[in-house]
Parts: sequence; C-alpha cells; structure tokens
Amino acid sequence: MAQARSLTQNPPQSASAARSDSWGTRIKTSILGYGLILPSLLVFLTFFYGPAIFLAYIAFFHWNIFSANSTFVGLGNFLKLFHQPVFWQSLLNTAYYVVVLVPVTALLALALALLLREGLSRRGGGISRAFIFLPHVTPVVATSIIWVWIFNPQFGLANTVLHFLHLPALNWLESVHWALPSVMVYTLWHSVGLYTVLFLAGLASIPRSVIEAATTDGAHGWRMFKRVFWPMLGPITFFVVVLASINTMQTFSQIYTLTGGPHGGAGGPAFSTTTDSLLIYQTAFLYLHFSLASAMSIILFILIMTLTLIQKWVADRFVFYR
Amino acid sequence: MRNAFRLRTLLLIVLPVLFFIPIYWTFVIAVGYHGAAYHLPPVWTPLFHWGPIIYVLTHTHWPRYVFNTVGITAATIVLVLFTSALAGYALAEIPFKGHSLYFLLVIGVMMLPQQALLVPQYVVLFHLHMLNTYAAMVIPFAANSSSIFLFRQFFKKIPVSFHEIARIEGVSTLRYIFRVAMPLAKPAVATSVLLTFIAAWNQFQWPLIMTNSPQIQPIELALSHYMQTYEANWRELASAALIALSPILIVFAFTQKHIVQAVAGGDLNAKD
Amino acid sequence: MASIEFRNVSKMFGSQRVLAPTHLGIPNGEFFTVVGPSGSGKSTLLRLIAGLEVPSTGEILFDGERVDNKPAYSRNVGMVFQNYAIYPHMTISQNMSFGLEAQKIPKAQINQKVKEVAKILEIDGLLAKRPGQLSGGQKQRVALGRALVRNPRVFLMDEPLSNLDTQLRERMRKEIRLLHETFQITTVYVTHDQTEAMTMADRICVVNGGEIQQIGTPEDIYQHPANIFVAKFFGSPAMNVIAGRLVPYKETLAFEPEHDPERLSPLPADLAARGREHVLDGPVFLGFRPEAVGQETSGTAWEIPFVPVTIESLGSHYQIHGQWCDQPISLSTSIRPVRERHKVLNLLIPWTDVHWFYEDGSRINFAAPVRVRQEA
Repeated sequence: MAQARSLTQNPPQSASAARSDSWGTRIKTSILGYGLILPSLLVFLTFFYGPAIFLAYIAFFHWNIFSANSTFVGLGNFLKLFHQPVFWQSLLNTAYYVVVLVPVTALLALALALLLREGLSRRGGGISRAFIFLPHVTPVVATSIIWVWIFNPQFGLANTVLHFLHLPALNWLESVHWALPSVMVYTLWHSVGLYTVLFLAGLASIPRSVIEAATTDGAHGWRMFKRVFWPMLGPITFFVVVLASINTMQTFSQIYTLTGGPHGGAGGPAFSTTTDSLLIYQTAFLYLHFSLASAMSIILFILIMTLTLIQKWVADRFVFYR
Repeated sequence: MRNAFRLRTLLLIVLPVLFFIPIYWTFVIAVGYHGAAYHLPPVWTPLFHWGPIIYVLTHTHWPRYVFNTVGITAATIVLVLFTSALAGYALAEIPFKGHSLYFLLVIGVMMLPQQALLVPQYVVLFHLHMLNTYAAMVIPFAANSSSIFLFRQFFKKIPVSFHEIARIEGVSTLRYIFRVAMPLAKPAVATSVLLTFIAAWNQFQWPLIMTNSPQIQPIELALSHYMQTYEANWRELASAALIALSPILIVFAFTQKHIVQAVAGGDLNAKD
Repeated sequence: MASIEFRNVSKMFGSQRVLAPTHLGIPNGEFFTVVGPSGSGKSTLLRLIAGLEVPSTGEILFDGERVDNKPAYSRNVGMVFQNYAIYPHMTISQNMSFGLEAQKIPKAQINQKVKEVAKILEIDGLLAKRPGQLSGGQKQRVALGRALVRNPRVFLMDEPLSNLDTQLRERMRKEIRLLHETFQITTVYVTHDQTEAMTMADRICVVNGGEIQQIGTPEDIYQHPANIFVAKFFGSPAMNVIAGRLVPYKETLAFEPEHDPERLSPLPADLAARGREHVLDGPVFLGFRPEAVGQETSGTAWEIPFVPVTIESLGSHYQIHGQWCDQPISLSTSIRPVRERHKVLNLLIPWTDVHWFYEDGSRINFAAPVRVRQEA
C-alpha cells in the first residue's frame, strides 16, 4: 500500500524524482524486484499459502465442494471426527509407525554413515554410498511393485530368507500384525540413504584435528564413537530424528501401493495400515467428506508444524552440514 | 583389529548389494522367462528376453504415459529454472521493499506439511478448472524454494561489476539474468534440474488426486492402476516398472555424486 | 565525445555523506584523473557520471545537457572496471558485441566494428578465445575494446591497472594515453596511485573524505599543493612537513619548530614581510620536498640539522631517512652521501622551495589576499 501511495505522490518522471535520491530510484528498483518475484510468488500464494488459509475455513464449516451453501459449525467437524473409531485407529497406527520406524531409521543411518565414513577414503567408497542412497530417488510405485512380490507369502524373497534362517513364515502384507511393519521395511529401504547422507555430512564437519587428537590418545572403535562422534553428532542426530518424523508422519505413496489392490483396499487389512495421510485421502477423495478431512488435516498440520518449527530452530542454531 | 577391518570391508560390499537387490530383481523378472517370479529358489541371472518390455512399449498405452511423464517433467524443469533464476536474482541483488518478507515466504513454503494441504489444494484446483489438466501437474511445482535459494547463493558470488557493465551497455535485467548470471551459476542450474527431475518424474500422490483422466496420467499413476488390474502378470508389471525406473537409474548413474551432495547440502525437506 | 559538468552534485548513502556538494567542469577531450585514498569518494564520483548512482542533490551535464535523470545506458559512456568485468563464459568477440546486440544493431555491423577495434588494440587474434586463456594485459585490452566498440561519448576507468604487475602497468599507462590521443574521448580515470595520476593526466582532481581538495595540472598540483593532504599525497618520499609557530624575532619573524623550540629560524626579509600579513604569532606548517635539499639558490636558505639513519640507493639517486631531533626527515639526492650514520649534518633548503600551510592544513598563498579568518 505504501508503494502505491508514494507512486502517486511522486511520479518518477518529475524533476524532483531523481534528486531526492530515493523515491524515483527506489520505486523503480522495487517494481523490478516485484516483477522478478511475481511468477514464484503467484505459485506459492495460489497453491500453498492460499490453500493453507482456506484449510482453516473449510474445517470450521459444513461445506460441500459442489454446492455454494456452507454453514458455520465451529468445532462440529472435530467432534464428529472424534466419534469415528477409525480416526483414533489411524492416529494409533501413525504413532506406531513413527515411533518404531524413526529410531530404527536413525540408528541404521548412523551405523551406515560411520561405516561409509571409513569406506569413503578407500577405492569404491563413493559407489557404496551411491548404492545405499539410490533407493531414495527411485519412484515409489515402481519399486513398491517389486516389494509386493518380495513380501509374497508363497514365493516371496522375504519368506525365503526367513526359511533359510529357520524362522516361521509370515503373511506380511496380508497380515493384520505384519502389514504395517512390512511398510516400515520398505520405507527403511527407501529412505535410510537420505539420512545416511545427512549423517555423513555431519561427520564430515567434525574437524580433522579432533579425530586425530583422539586417535593419538589411542581411542578407536567404540571408545572413539563415544568420545568423539556421538557428542559431535548430537545436533545432527536430533535434526535427523525430527526430519524423519516429519517425513514418516506423511508417508502415503508406499502405503497406498503396498496395501492396495487385492489386499482389501489401501489401508488394510482391517485398517491396520490406515495412517493419518491415508485416512485424509480416503475421507476426502473416496467418500468426499471434505470438511471432515479438513479437520483431520488441521490436526496433522499443527502436529507437523510444531515438529518443523523445532527442526528449523535446531537447523538455524547448528548449521553444520553446509 | 585386522578382523574388524575385514568385517567392515565385507559390509561395505555386502550392504550396498543388499540395497540394490530389489532394483536388480525388477530387471531380472522383466527380462526373464514367464513365471520366473514364482521360481523357487529364485533365479538370479537375467535372461535378456526383451519381448515383454517391447510388448508393453508397443501394445499398450505406456508410450502415452511415458510421453506424459516426460512432458510434465520437462515443463516443470524449464519453469522451475525460469522462476528460480528470477526470484533468486531479486533476492540476491535487488533491495526491493518487502525483500525480507518474501524471503520468509520462500522459507515458509518448505515448512508447510504437504499431506495436510491436499484437501484445500484440490478445492483450489477445482475452482480454477485445473483438475485433469497438464497444467495441474506442472504449475503448482513451477516454483521451488530450494532452487530459489540455490540461485540466490550463486548469484551473490558474481561480481557486482558484471551487472553494472550490462547496465551501462543497455542490457536489460532479464537478458542479463539469462545470458550472463545463469550461465555463471551452472552448479545451481545442474542441481535444480536434477532435484526437479527426480521430484517430477516420481510424482504419484498429486496426480492420483488431481486427475482421473488416463490421457494425462503420468507413468507412476498408470503403474498403480495397472498393478491393481494385472497383479498376476508379473513380467509385464516388472517391465512397466523398469520403464518408470530406467531414466532415474541412468541419470543417477552419471550424476550420483552431484545428487548426493545436493541432497546433503540443499534439499533437506525431501519427502518420502 | 562530450564535456562533463557537475553542478552542486552531492551523494548520501543513508545518513552518510560520501560526496560533498561538488562543482566540476571537464572540457571535451580532456584526460582527467581522480585520485585519492580508498574510501575518499573518488569511485562514487565516477559512478555518478556513469549513471550507476543517482546524485542526492545537483545536476550532471554532458555537453550542457542534463543526464543525471537519465538511465546509465542512454548516457553512452564506456567503462572499464578494476576487475575488467569480462564475462568468463563468453568468447572475447561475444564479450565485445554483447552490449551492441542488446541495442539491436545489425550483426554484420557489429562484427565489423568489433574487428576494427580489435585490430587497433592488437587483440584481433584473440577474438575466438575465452577470457580464461588471456593474460592480465590482454584482458585489460579487451575491457578497453568492449568500451570502445560503442563509440562512447565519455570514457570512465575505475582503477583499471591495479590488477597488473608493475612493468605491465607502465606499458598500459602509455597505451591508454596513446589511445586517448588517437580517439580524443573525454576520459575520467580513477586511481589511488599518485604516479599513475601524475603521468597520465591533463588535469588531476585530488579527493579526500568526500571532498575535492584540488584540481589542477600535474605540475600545478606538485608545485602548489592546496593543502598538506595534497602536498603529502604526491611525491615519494612524501613532503617533509614540520609544525611550529611564527614568532617575532628582532626586526623580523622567525620559525619556531614545535619539536625543537630552541632553534629559531629567522625568515628572510621579504618572506617575513608577507608572512606578517598572513599569520602573526600563530601556528603554521612548513613543508619541503625531499629533493629540495641542497638545491642551488640565489637567495637565502633554511638551515636545519639532520641525523641520517638509513640510506637507500636507487641507482640514479639516493633516499636518506633520518631525524631532526624526533622529527623524521627524508631526503632525496643524486650526490652519493657519505656513509656515516648518526653524524649531524646541516641541511640547506632554499626558502623559495618551502611550502607554507595554515594550522588547518590549507596553503598559505603569499600572492593572494589575506584570508578573512586570519584577519578576525
């Protein structure tokens, strides 16, 4: 608004525009700046900030995409949501999924990073890192296909391995108990490379002198880890845990793909893999309960925003990986 | 000590192989004989029967899906480069009013939880009559925070005199950005192209929600439908998956170092 | 080609003044150097002419026509930056034609012009190369060439030689000067190097602290520095400046140096008479150049004691650094000095070679009328 007003008061063509150092040039500079940011700004506003604000609106209204009528229902959508057992089930599933998967992912990533750190100085170390990272960039549906087959109770590799280890065979994706862990296995495979690379960046930022000093003191193996790596990796570990939580909480594609089809529709069997993102998807786009889905989205939004802000705070305080 | 060293060396070879097995297997099944998927113990050597892949590419709608994905990916990359170069330049060089507010907006987008926004995003696309269009697959991803920051970072390293001489010579800012600043920020261009390529090529949930038209659906979405219909037809399914996978694998093979570094230093909000 | 005029031009960055209100006239075809220490505002002056900065007050005119409200490109100036600002990803000919292409000039015409200028600058063999393959001197020529192809009205150079080694710098100095004689384009040349300013300029403008100290020909500036800053800025070693007072002495005046008050130096009668008009019993600064010592003179000379400490031989002449009590003194002489350190010598400086400055540093001009401030 201030821009528009000063424009009319001080037309840039007037003789005084140039002399007061400011208005003419500053407005011209600003107009150029706005022109340059306009394309990205429009995208952000239309497809991200607009919807974020709109979300709050539809969550508090009884609202239908196909009709113009909407009535304010306050917390009505939320109350309705709380009466749905499947909502609580999805929260429970999500919590289970996150609480088990995140620590396992972080630990495995840390172990892989420590292993790769030594390997990187040797020939072929970069290739090892590339192979562990590769799954992260693969398309989820394409790679889920092969995992569906790996988890096949009759012919799958998973049971072949169990058989080899003299363990009982499992029903994997078709079992109420093992479906979600199966998804976890896939997600671990798909994402651990990302966190490994982040840990590697954290390890690379440890000053060489610190490691050398510890080596001279005779520290290696577990002692080295306890005395040097673990304290130095504190911030990045926290960062990885929060980032992994944010990402796992929003897992959708692999659950949809792995548990879809003949396994009782996505989220099955018996809602055992129905997590929050999946329930939002189904509520909105299968059953067209947009208001209900919005209420769920807001809960998820608040949960994740809290985590994100914590992550941002940590990242700003310890910018160690750049 | 020696044993520990050997164990580590062994793990350094075995673990990467384990991670690669699922991808390798997709290949084995796709080019294997019919029923290879059900063979026990599993068959490990590829037979190089290219028949199924050729069949999928010639007798089904897959060329269309490949075309869709290629088009969507290419368009997204071009637009991301365009918007990021402009915005990155503005953030790096131009002290416009509201500079810091825009900076915050760009950071903020990275923080918004994607899963919680899908419902209102659908409604917005519905009202813009964008559902079931190519535009819906491309335009929402035509601007990208990490690319903007990347460009900003590289533009800041360019000497001020480079732009000043252009001003003196009557070269417009746009021309300067595309002819001088962008070519000098090649690493930023490369990283943006790679990260956008991966993200756009792997799109699944967005098209799943925003389109139900087989005319526009990209390969991942088509795969998902295909999977539910022909679950038993493993060879064709694996062939289709391989078609979706190959471009990623090929690009990764040549640029893995760059991608790994880009992810470690740049795109920290990579979604699962 | 154009004349340049500053009318009351000043520049503020926020609340910080980088250029005090300035009046300035540069006639058509002049080679004008602006010299001063870093942060003196000399680059700002140049950037104001180029249009890279907008003046906070005042007007800038080219050939009597106002340009300060016009964008940089419409002023048609050619500029050479310290880092040359040659685009590393383009070939030399692309670099030289980039600006012309933006103005939609026909390709053939651009090519011809680029070739023509390249030939004059002897870089026609480099046109297809990239800047990375060029030496510093060659880059320098390319930067000049890029400015020349546009037939600029005014040539602006911002420390263009400071990235070159000494030998090359001297050669380029001559070449730029020669180029100027060929094309006769009004040139404003900014440098922090007094030798560069001296050897190249038709006129020199000395800037310090955002204010113009003096404008004049090199001889003018050297022989009649307007103040102590200018006096010390030019010449190497710098002018010796000694603080003291003028005190009454018998019938005449004497100089009483601050660091050695016992030693009164009586002024010759004519100087004393005029000195009395300007300063009576007040603090002054006396200055003399290192090479003024021992010069033959028809008049009287100022005699001071001197203890040499170090002697530097430069082949053609010697630089002797020493002291008068605690006051450091430098001399420059072509006579081989006796290598006897710490022996007190008597120096003779002709009074005609002594420069006089007021307490505030400005020159006491004995020919000019008495300063108002001093009368009061």
